[in-house]
Amino acid sequence: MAAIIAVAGLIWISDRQFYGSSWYGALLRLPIQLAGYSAAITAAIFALMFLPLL
Amino acid sequence: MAERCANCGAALDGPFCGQCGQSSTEIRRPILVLATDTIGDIFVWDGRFLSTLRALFSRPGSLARAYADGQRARWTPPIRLYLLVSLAFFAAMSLGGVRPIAVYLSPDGDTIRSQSAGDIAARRANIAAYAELYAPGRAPMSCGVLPGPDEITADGRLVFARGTDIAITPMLWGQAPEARVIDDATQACMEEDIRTVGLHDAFAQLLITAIRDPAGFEARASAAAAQALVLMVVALALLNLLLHPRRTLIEHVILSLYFHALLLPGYAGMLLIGYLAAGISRRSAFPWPWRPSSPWPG
Repeated sequence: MAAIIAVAGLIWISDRQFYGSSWYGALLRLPIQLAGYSAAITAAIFALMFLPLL
Repeated sequence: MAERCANCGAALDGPFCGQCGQSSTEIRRPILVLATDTIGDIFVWDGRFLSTLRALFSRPGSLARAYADGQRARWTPPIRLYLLVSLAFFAAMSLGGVRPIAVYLSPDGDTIRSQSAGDIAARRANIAAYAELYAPGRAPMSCGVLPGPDEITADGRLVFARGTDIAITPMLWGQAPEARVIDDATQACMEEDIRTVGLHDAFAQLLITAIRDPAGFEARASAAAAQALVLMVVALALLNLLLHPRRTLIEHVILSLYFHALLLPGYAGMLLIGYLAAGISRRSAFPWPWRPSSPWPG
């Protein structure tokens, strides 16, 4: 849980600082970024683990 | 005749080439000069590296913005920083005996070899109690031999037994668990179990491979995790491209590289704090941050 909060905070602050987003704009994008990032890392690890089996 | 750059052939007008930037200094120099120059180069580079690290930890987005906006000489390039940090991260994991992707099998080999008749009876009773909770033949962990003498072959290898707790989990300390023998009947039973819950056969193969050769599986999976991290740099950049389509792709890649260069030491730090807070000895293999619920007593 702490790791998820830390990553969420990092994504939020990066969005604010890098793109100059407003705090609520960055907050609105956060769930999409978190969901997309989680899905991508899960897919990448599973795909790479399954590759030797194929 | 004007001196020319040894790299690109352009006319030189000073200590560096105006075309390609290569130094005009002759590399064949006395060893003492070469050594002091090398030390100087390291410290110059190191100064930039440390200031980049400071900026990375205090204001990562601003650092990436400054680099994208043109402050290239002041900061360590994001690709170099990312490669250095990921190299250091995986080297530290390896030296510290942490398995990035780990197979967890419980009870372990030592426990099985030293179990008493009472332990065996308790495990069997627990399996029977589980079986009563489910439809006939559908209890979880119902594949394998019964706990007891059948768990060890004549040549001392372990056989996969019913009620064995199995998990594939990130970041465990210690050695990979001992391999288990899975006979054809157990394999067919596990494949059937996986099919029953609606998962593809590949998941059963993955699980069986992990149980038959945990060390080999962990090595392959950890290599896959390292490669997945590289893919994640691209994934985050593309995700940000979708959310900020007016920016160029290279800007998103710069942010993504700095982001991941910060993520890895942050993750390692959190793991370390977690382990220290738990006050657990480095020698013991333990399931943290994830702890499976053991279906057998003890």
